[in-house]
Amino acid sequence: MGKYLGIAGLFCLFVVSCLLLMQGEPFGAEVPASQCFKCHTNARTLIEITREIAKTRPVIKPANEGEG
Amino acid sequence: MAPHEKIFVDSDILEDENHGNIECHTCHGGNPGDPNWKTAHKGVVKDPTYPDAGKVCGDCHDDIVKNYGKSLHVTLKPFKTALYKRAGSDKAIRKKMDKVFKNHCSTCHSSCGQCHISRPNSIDGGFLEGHLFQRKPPMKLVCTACHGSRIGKEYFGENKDMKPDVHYEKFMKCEKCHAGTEMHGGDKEYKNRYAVDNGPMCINCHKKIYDSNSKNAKTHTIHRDKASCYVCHSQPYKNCTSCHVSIDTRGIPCYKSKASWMAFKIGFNPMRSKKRPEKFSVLRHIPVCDSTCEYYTKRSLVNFNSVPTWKMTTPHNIRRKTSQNKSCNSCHGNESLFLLKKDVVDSELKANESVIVPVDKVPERISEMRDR
Repeated sequence: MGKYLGIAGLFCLFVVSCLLLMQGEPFGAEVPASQCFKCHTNARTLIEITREIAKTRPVIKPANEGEG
Repeated sequence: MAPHEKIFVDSDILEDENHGNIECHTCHGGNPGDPNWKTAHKGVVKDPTYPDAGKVCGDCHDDIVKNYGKSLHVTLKPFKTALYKRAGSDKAIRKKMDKVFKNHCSTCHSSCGQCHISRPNSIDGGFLEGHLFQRKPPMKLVCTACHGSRIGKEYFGENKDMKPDVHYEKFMKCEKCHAGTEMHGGDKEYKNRYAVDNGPMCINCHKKIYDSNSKNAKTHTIHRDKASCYVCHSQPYKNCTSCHVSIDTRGIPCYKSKASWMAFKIGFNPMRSKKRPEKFSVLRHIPVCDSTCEYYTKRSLVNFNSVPTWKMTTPHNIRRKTSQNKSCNSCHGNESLFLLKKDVVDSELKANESVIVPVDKVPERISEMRDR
């Protein structure tokens, strides 16, 4: 009886392993390697860069008066 | 929006089965492998959908993109048409008007990207939902962000003492009436938004207002082709005047306009047609005056009188019951509701003579018996 249970257990382990492998590539592997994606999805980096930009290029608003 | 929020990309975009596989540089260019952000952005196109959306959207959305170049949101043609008409046919003046259009009008255009991906540039941009593609542009972030001071305030009931539009109270967003087929342009080059074939008409939804067994059928039938729906169902709306465009001392195009005012004026319909046969329509004063472009040339709008400054309008503050439809004589014989000669400044009398209602043409009061 114990022998059969052992074989069944091994079989189950094999099936589960196969299913996991069939899931495809590991999670996150499709994330593009480009710098664009890396920076633009990172709030901290963007905050630093936009602060740096603001120092050198202050926002200039047109001198409008009244409603547009 | 904080500066970094405007350019933050939500990584959920990878789960977009239609756009998630497109690499950033495919649309925006630049140097994706460069770790230095300054040099990586060399050649980056912020909005690759303007002025030609064909290159990036056309591969899949060719049926929409084919008319993109004729969409009024892209061409802003009505501004140019009005400028040219008021400027006359002199080539030198028209050249100046081209400059006015480029500096002051064309900056307000939109594009595929500036409705479905980011807020329009004219209101400082910024991604909608971290660059996730929005099938329906969000009303407050896109539509009324540009069409705000008049349409937005009317629709949301933000003008003092005015109620919101009844359609807003029914949770209707802009796209409910203004479908993509209207926004995306058509086969024809439309003169203005009222000419667009797929533009909204009240009757498209309110189909039964003339049916004999419908409520107020008699009133609707009596006024059919006489008054536009807005004459009875809109509230007072914002009017503007005296906009002057110029370039400031720093070289930045700017405008100055006088304070707006709330009014409700019925005049002769300046756009009477088969589609809009009504004799009376609601008129709104637009910001133009004869010296609007004088910064560019003293002799600018030489043909100013050729186009009314009180223009047909469709206020977005509709109510079933309004002060002017309370009873027949709330409107009939009520001269204060009509655009009379005394309501128009002397310098604009000639331009508006076709829309001004002479006192004797104001619909007469009707007998009290009928008013009941």
